Amino acid sequence: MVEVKIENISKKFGDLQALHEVNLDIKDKEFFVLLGPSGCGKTTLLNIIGGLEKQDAGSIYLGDTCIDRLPPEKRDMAMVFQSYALYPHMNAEENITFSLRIKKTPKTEIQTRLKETSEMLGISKLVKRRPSQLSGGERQRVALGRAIIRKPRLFLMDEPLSNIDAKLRVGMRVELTRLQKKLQTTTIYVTHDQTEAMTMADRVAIMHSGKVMQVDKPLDVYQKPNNIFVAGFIGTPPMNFLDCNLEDRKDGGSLKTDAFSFDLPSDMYNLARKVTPSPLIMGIRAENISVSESKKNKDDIQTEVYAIEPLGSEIIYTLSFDNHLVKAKAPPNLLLDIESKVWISIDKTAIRLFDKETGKSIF
Amino acid sequence: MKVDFYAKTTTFVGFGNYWDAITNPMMPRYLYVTLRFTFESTVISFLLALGTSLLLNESFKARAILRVVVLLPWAVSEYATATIWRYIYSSEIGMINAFLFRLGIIPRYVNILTAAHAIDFVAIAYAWHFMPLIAFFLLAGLQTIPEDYYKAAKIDGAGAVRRFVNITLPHIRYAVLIGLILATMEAARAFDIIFMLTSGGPGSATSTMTYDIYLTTFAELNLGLGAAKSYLLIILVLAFAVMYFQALTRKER
Amino acid sequence: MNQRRFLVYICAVLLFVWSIVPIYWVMNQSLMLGSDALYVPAYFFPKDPTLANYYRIFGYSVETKYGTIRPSGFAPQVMKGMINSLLVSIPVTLITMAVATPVGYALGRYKFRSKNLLVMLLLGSRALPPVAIVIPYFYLYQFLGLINTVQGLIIIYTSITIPIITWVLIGFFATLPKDMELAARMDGCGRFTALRRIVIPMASSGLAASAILAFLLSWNEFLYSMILTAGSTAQTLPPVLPAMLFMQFDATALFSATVLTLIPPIFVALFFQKYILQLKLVDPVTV
Repeated sequence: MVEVKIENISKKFGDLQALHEVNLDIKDKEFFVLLGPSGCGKTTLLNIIGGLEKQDAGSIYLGDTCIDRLPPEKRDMAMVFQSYALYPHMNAEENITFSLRIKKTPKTEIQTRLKETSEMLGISKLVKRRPSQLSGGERQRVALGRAIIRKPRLFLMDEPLSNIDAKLRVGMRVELTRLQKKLQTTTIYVTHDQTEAMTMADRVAIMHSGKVMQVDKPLDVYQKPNNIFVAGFIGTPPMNFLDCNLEDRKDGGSLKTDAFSFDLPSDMYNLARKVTPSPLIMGIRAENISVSESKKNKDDIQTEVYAIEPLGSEIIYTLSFDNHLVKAKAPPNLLLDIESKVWISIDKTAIRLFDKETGKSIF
Repeated sequence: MKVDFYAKTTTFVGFGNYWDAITNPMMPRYLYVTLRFTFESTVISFLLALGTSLLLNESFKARAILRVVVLLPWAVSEYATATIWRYIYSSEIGMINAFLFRLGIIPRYVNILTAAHAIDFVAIAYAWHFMPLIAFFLLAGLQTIPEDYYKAAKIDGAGAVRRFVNITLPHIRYAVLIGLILATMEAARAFDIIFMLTSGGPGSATSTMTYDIYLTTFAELNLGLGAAKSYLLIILVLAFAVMYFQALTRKER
Repeated sequence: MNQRRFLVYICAVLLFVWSIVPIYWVMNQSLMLGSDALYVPAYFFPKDPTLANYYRIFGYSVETKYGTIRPSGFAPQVMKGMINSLLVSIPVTLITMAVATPVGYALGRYKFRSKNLLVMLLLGSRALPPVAIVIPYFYLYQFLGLINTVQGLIIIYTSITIPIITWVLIGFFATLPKDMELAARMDGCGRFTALRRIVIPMASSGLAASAILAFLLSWNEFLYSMILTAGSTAQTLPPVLPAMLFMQFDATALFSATVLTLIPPIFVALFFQKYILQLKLVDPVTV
């Protein structure tokens, strides 16, 4: 039940700059996700917030209080670990109630809270079992129970769903989100899985090499990526990228790649003009490329089918032309053979342009 | 630099003791015995340990019992080991002699602990005692090797020897190194076994440097000389220890 | 595969025989009376097995078919020796565990500047031959009045056991999973509480094995006891054997006394072997 302010946090491990002046503002009761590939620093940041690691520079604030000097046990946060970290020599009940017993909470209260928590998570029948006697999913709930029972101000979760089978994971995602809304507790959640981030987050922060690339609602990150990294990271299949340049024409301009060129709408062109002569990268998502067996529009490009991935609900084609490979989504009934010649049509309104040198998006 | 004394009076002798120690005509003998003993016991116990650990790594029914039994020689103390083997080697009532005699292999009891070979037999006895420690070191290392490597190699057609050389050995390098150095250092310092088994004899056939130090200090009561000799031995053992760190840290680079 | 199995079983049998025969031999000899034990060629199985020798070393006369046999003159030493060995070994084990556990934990878990140096110092102490070390101790103890005392032995024994056990525990703690400890800290434990309530229970098997090792090392220690307490009331069990051997040759008493010294270690190895086998050996320098 608190806002978290992360101010200018930096951390170095030997020669590696794990975090580079990270700034984030997390709202009260928010489900905030830190998303990024392995090694981007998200777990380090989480550990710093929890007090398990010390930052080299910067501060963390809970509400108005700076918590830098507080040891982890005094920060009133609960953490769920990727490995669950259940105490092996205690049974589930003892694991869950451990923190309360440390604080010498009266027994009656411990029992009440235990009952509440275990019922909420559906593990009431398992409380007397030891971790070694529980399945992965059950252990995870016990780990959650251990965090929830304390009614902390903040939840920290470090990839809690990574060690669960794919099928169970989908169900758990929904449950976790519902749980968080019910408990109304601010949560900071770390993951490398973009599906988790997209489906669970109120807001997501994309991190890469110790820096925050973008902080936005999931849909905004998808539709308006700030830079090439975010654009390429979010979305399955990943966004297609092609090098290109602007060419001036009489009335407006066109986008020219080494394989083809087409006219740009004038507003896009004007925006782009401001940044040139720097070379550009064009990005287009697979769902914005349509495939057909015949040429339908003036700007359509001829390609050859390179690979087919039928997913059931749609088919993803990888198409090649002039040393480029792009992926396009097609309806499930459009069946094509490998090496057959087809035409693709690019939806120009969905194009994103990026400055090749800085990686920043122009639009 | 070294102040050394003589019975109740202290006389500063400087390096005199070291000089006496080094020029003592017996010193090369002691050094030789020590090195031979160290080398033999290390090699024997290491080879046995390797075989044992490989064996214990296989799964078979009696494995649990065997593990306990293999541990026993280590649980038995060094001095008890010496006492026991004394009566195994004994030329009067020894087990080996009895065995060979009853089998008709020898007409009369022989002297096993001869001047020429006593040290070898002492090394065997010591190896009997020390082997389990190394075996368990190696076993711990062997157990970290994932099965998959062997399966892949078998499919590729590698025979048992090849598998051993290319998969097993590289994985247990650290364990082997630790085991070897520990065996060497401990053997160089060993005392109990010499004392109880042969008392340095016959003659000085099994007098290691350690035993000599003992005699010098407690029998001859020449403490200064004893202390000087000790330092020489320490240098020897430290040389082994340094070799260890060199070998180990070289791998890091 | 049949050929391999066969080979494995043969080797197993050989190993078994190799390890057990010497121990069997001394037990065999200890169960016979003098004339049978020293018979040439020796009997491989006890002829007329008897516990007479064991009675003898505890100070009793025994009636046998050969007449009454007097108790061993070493009986009082044997009895006192066993008691002293216990009086020394138990405190040594306790002290060693009390010191080695936190040190092993600290060196095994945390990185700090002087760490490698400390570890090397620990290992370096193994380079010194006991024969050499005992000399200064001898003089020091005479000066301090610790000669021929149990306390003196306790002190010097811990100087052997602490480095070894710490070395073992460093490797052990290094491989213990860290997450549980972090979870405990998030749950509200300070460093020490986390250590006490979480890490140590998790480490119990390794600690048990280390305690056993410490006890064995102490029980089996020979040289220091012989030099520092020989002939006195504080003498432990080991020096009794050379006395029996060199001073008054009483063979069968020697055999039974030897077996006596073997019993606790064997007992310990038998019943606690599963703990010992769980110890994973990691080299502390590379940690």
